[in-house]
Amino acid sequence: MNINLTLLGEMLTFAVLVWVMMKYIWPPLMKALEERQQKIAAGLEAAERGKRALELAKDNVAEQLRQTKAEAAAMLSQAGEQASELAEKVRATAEEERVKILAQAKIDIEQEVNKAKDILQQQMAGLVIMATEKILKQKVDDVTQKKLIDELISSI
Amino acid sequence: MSNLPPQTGSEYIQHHLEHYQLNLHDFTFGDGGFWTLNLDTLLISIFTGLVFLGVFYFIVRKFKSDNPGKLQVAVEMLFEAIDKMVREIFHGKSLLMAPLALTVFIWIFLLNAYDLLPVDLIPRILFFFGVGHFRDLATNDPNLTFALSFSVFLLVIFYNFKAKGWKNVAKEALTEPFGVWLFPINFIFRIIEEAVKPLSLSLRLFGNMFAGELIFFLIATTPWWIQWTVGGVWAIFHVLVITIQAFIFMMLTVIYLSMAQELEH
Repeated sequence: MNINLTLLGEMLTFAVLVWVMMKYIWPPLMKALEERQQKIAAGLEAAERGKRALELAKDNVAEQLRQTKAEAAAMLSQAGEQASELAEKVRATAEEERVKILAQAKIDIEQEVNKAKDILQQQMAGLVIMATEKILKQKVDDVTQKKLIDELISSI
Repeated sequence: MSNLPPQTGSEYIQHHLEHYQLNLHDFTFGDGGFWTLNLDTLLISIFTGLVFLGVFYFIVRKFKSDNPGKLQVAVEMLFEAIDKMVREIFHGKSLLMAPLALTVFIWIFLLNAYDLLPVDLIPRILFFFGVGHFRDLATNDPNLTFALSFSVFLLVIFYNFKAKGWKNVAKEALTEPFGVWLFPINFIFRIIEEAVKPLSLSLRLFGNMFAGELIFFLIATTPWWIQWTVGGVWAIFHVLVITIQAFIFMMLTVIYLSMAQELEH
């Protein structure tokens, strides 16, 4: 176990080995490891973000569904209101129309009645005149007069 | 070991404790004092270093972010564990610290792991290629452990001056722990404190691995039919030892360096 020149040779060898390790092996490998760490971290973060986005979307969907339902309900009730309003209006119009028609009909009937009355009056006047003429033309006894009046009455 | 020269147990062990050396005086194989290279230590450590750097480099090049393979996941876990540990201990910002810790851990762990190969496997294979002595466990060569700890020592000194500046280092070395009037003692204390760090680092690793290897040699000298029992137990225990030793070395490296660059006041 003598110390000899091998000592220097080994020191040189050691120095070269450390130098190569320091220059060509350690930095690139550490860099690669760090890059992978970052990649994994980024991936996990992206997954987390995706999860959050999904939850947000779910919430959104639920919210929208709720809103739509509310809108639909509102529309439905509005439509019902409108329909009943319309029906009311229609009914009111119809009522008005009915009253109008009724009034018109009354007026018409009255007019008809008046017309008929007029006609009757005229006819009656004619009959009276005719009857008077007949009575005046013949000598009339009571019996005949009675008969005549009966005839007259029945012709009216 | 019928065709190997050493026959007795002690000879066998002695044989295994010899390095495959290159004498730089005349470029022959053998010991040449200080101007000697332990070829086995150098070959094994450089080869192992290239292998793990190659594997890591391959993984970095073929890095798949979405669908990683098993090897990539294992390497990623290792990188992340070391990165986390360094961040917890070392509070400065340094591009060097984590790669240094990782290199120390992997390199020492893999070099220690050669201990788990059968002690004669690689030496015997190389014996057929004419290599007489070969120690495949590089971490029980003090040259390697001291090279590591001395490198750490130099970094500690560098970080001391870089983080604190000359004045603060001088002040710290001269006035702590006993105050300014005892500055020679303070200075000697500081020198001892700093010098003990690389010594303890390298000797701990060396001692553990040397002892473990020696036990394997001893087990190899027992009769073949008993070897698997003790050998198995020791190998399983040693899996723990080699991991812990690599971990301790890395941990202490980071701790020493973080101590070096932190101001006490």
